[in-house]
Amino acid sequence: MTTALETLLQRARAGEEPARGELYERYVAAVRARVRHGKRRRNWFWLEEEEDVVQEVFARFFSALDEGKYAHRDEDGLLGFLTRTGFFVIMELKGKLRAKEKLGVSPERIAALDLREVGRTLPMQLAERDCLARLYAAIEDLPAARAEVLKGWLYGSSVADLATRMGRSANAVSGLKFQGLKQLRSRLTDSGFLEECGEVFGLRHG
Amino acid sequence: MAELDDVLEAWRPISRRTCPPPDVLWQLIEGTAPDRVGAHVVACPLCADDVADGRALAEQTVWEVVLSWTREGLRALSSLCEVRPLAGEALRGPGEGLELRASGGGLRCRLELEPRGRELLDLRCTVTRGAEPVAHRLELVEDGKLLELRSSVAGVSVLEALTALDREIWVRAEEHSFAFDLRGETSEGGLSSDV
Repeated sequence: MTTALETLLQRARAGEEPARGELYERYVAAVRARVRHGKRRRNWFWLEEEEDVVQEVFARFFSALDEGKYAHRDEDGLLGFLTRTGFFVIMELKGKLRAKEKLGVSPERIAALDLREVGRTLPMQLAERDCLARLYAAIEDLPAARAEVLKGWLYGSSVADLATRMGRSANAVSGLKFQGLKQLRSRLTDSGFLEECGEVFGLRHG
Repeated sequence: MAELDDVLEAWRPISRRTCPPPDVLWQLIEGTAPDRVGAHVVACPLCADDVADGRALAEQTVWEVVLSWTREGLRALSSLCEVRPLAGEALRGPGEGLELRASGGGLRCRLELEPRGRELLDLRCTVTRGAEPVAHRLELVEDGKLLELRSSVAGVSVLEALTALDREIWVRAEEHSFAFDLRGETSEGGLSSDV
């Protein structure tokens, strides 16, 4: 037996705008509530226009309907699809902010970060994973302050935030980064990293 | 070896190039991802943050919880708070709303939550001492700010068509206060009272 929701979805798939409007009206409050809840719960200070996320979720949902990428099961499944889509939209927004160095990991988290463990758990499908793990382990093995600054840089922490946490000046933090990279180069050269991993990363050696 | 700096720049984890893609993180949230993904998320602060964001999105809001109550029957909100399905009187019948009760200082406070359609909620408060109605104020508070205020008539106050749910309800009667905390993060805690 076809439910009222299934009928509505069929009409929406057929391109009936009133049916799409009805679907939107029916679920927009639920999507909006989840985005607001996430924003408050997780302190998404960077999300100024939550409504943009809501609208993007529905735009993608209707695209998925058009392209046959939404397989309807029941209402809970539909809400799950909308929520998952919201997650992807949020992830994309965060990605853009991270690329602009506006959403780095806090220095407090950096201080507790074990880069060696990150290296051990890199995704299996990553061809460079073994060499990356070596690289990360080499950073972890640097003197603590140098390692902390390099890890902060890798994870997008600002120099100012690192300086505050470490009780040093910004110049001192920049100096630690310079010295850390220099020492890292030296150690990697001595350990044969270039010979073994140079090709993986497209590095020249010899 | 200037190229090493380029490698580090290209492989900075902040790019998420070294992380599982979002759909895999979502699988983790749904409990269907391989164990290895979980291990990475524990180690990686970026993924830990992303997964926490996803979990916050996936949490039912209080409104959805109320709908769930009304659909599936009664669930305990709190050991501190007596919760039961609405029934009788002017209400639509069992299973269509919730009743929360609290008492203290000789007062009984009764809060009825009744869904209106899919998106709205009506709220009715009754305060009594024995069989006598007690005058009170009903306050809707969000982030410490008073949004709505109702004074009771014959011991009853009503707030209709509420839309947002991450809020607190305060009932002030005589020198006593009852707080019904409807914010998502404490939806399982439910109630406090300073009577």
